[in-house]
Amino acid sequence: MGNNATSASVYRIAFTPPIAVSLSAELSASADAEDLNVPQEVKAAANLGAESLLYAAESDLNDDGEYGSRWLLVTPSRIVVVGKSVRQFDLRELKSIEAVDHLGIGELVADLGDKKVRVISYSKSKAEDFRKAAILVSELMDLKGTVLNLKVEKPKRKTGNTYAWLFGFLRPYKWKLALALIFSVLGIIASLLPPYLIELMINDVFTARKTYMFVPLVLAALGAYGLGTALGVGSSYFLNWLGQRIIYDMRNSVYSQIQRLSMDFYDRMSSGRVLSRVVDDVSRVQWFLVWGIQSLVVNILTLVGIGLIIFIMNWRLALFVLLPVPIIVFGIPLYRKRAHALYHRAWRKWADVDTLLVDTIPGVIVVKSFSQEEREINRLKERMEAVVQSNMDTVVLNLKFFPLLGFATSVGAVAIWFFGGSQVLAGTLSLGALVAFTMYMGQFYGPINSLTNLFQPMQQAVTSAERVMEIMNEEPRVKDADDAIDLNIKGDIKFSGVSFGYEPYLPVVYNISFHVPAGTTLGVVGPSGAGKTTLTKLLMRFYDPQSGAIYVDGVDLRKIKRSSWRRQVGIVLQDPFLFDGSVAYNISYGLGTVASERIIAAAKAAAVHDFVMNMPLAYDSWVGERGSMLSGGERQRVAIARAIITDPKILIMDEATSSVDSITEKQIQRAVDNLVKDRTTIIIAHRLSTIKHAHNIIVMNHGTIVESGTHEELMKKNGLYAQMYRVQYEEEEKEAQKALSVADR
Amino acid sequence: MPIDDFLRELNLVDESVVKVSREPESAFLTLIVNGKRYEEVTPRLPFPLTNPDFVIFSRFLGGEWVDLFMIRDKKKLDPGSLSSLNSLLSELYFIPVIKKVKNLSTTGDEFVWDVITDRGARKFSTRGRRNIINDRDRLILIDVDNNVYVINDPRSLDKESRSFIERFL
Repeated sequence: MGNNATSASVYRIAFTPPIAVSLSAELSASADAEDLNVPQEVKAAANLGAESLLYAAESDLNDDGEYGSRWLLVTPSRIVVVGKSVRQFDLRELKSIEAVDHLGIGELVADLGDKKVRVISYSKSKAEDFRKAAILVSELMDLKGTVLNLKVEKPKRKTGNTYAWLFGFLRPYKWKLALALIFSVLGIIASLLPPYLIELMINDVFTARKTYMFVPLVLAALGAYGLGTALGVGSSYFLNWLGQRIIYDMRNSVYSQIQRLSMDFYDRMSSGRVLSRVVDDVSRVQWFLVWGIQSLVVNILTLVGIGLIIFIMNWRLALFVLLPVPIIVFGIPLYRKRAHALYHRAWRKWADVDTLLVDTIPGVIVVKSFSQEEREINRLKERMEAVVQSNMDTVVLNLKFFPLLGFATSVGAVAIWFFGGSQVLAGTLSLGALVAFTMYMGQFYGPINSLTNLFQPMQQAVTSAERVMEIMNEEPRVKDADDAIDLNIKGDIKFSGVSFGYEPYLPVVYNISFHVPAGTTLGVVGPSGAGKTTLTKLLMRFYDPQSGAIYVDGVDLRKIKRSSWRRQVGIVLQDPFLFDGSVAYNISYGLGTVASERIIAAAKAAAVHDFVMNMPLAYDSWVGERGSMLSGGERQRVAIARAIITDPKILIMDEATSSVDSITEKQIQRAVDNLVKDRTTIIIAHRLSTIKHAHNIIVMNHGTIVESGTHEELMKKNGLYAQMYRVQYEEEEKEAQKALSVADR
Repeated sequence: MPIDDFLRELNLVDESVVKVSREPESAFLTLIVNGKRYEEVTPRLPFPLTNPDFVIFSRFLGGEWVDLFMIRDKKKLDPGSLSSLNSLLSELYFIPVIKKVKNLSTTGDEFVWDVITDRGARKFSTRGRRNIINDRDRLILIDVDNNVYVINDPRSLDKESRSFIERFL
């Protein structure tokens, strides 16, 4: 496969100084670091001597293509590969060197003039190191060509602690929480009184006939129950209040995090999954924070209180109470481990159903057009079946554990009746004490049962919290640099050797360089998939280029605050998304209060005013979910009005691919013509007529610029642009003729 | 072209230079702006709900609307002009304000309203939550026949009306 480099994906691009310069700095810096951790024996095998080592990379595959180790060392004059054997290549004999990607494996291929040979192969995990090697070697050879270097950045994640994060939400309300807990504790104490009162009643009133104590004891019992109820109401109120506040804070925090994350997050995680985490998982976490913690604390305190009382009353009998404790202590961790895995699986299955619904219901028109209703029903059935199955697995697990626990506690109770009863019969224990003891015991198992029952929902809550944490720990890849500035832009845009891929090693655009002087219009055309829309995403800084840079008025875009930048750029997306609100709301989106006349002016500029005024409530008319009550062309023009209401210095327009009728096209054209004057405008055009008058046009194909120039120049060149233009023109001709012939009839 | 240029082209004029009059029964207004007379003018409200005082004066010419002038606040017109304008507007824009909700019931997806408005008593149905629009302090109702009603500040209604609204919405 080494000689077959042309069929593999080789990204050969023209040598651009910015990449090379930054790379050599990077490489030499790393070379300083104690010879890049190259083992002594490798250096010895390479016979380096006094030669300086510029770069070294370890492959994870050995000479036989199995997992192992091999080293590639680069010196100013040669490349040495140290494995079972040692091979070397004199740089003067090399014509070029390329990093070539294959499936799961990559290789460095050297062109020796008469033949191409494989220098070393490596798995994809090491590809980045060898790409750097190839670039360095190319630089060393002073070659005209080099391989593309895409910096592979794994999504960064903070390692936040789930519990620390959760308790963080309680912190602002710690006094309210303390109050709620105090109420709870007092409630517990009140609930511990009645059994003692019963003991006094039986021993002193019924047995010893101290009748004067009868009424006070009854009143004391009434007081204890009354107090317990009042305190219960109080603590419930505070805890519910806390619950509402916390869920509010948490939703806000999660929502602002997902708004903060850059676009790649949404590329990796579908919106259905994000929704499920924001809505369902957060609710479960809320439960944990409010009821979970409260139950935990109250039950543990009750347990300790009763434990103390019964041991003081009769420690021998109390020992029987402890009978089921080993099952709890050893059983619950075992259960937890198993349950954790099962609940995680169940959530995943449920999220699958969610994703399907979010996907197919908005896409219902496609489903119906392809008469795929049956298939979709079956798909949902399958996924629901998986939900049922994984839910049943958790049910079975719970049935194995909890009934056993319940039976063990019952055995403890029976044992008390037997041994305590024997002591009463023998006269060593008063009847009142036994009754009080069994009452306390009943109260002792209550919290144990609650605690064990708590584990199940608590387990779910912790699982949910971890899922939410995954989002919270995600770091936006596109961030403002610490020294980022607010820049009042004039609108001069320069792309310099920009390369970018959504997937590492799969560049969508590479080595793109162009210049748009302030106030001029650039048209971008090319077949679909050529990377045109990606350019707009890079320019909006939804993503950062992996190599090269974008300059605005001579300043690297990465050095400009995103908020400051985006405020000054108007964008009309290919599929303009309108929110469920009025036309006025959508045009003034993100601006707060805007003077009415400004909304009208923007709508007039976007050639949509007349249409809006004909709607029943004019600018107050509702556009429906995603603007569904408007047609594609109307949505497009409302989006144009939204983009330009702030009078941005730069306007980016990604023309809708869908064909619109010629009247709509003219209206859009009118809107565009209104706007481009004295404004830096980049138009991704599908209809070439839109950009005929642009100052400059770049033609893209397979991620690179293949032609550029004005319309006239490009037509003269007779290349891809001229070809595309003729196809569209001929089609329009045909349509016009068709229309004419229909009219003639 | 900057938005400011479009703003200038709107012909937003000061209310003090506008005189509005209406012949009895006429479907149009006569406008005098800065001493110049315009006949057959129609007032149009671009924001009939959220900013009903903003008025565009237009003429329907050659199959399309031509906007002549705009004013920000019709209430700043002189009283005579305002009453002429309002008299025509009330014929073109019929948005009763609900003063009392006598009954509100649901049948499936429909809400059936029995109300008293500033234009008299009325019974109507709205379908789905989409046609009950919460706009700041107001509820805007669009019934199944596309009639529009407004409740200004539902909290200021009487207790019975409020309880109907709170129970169902």
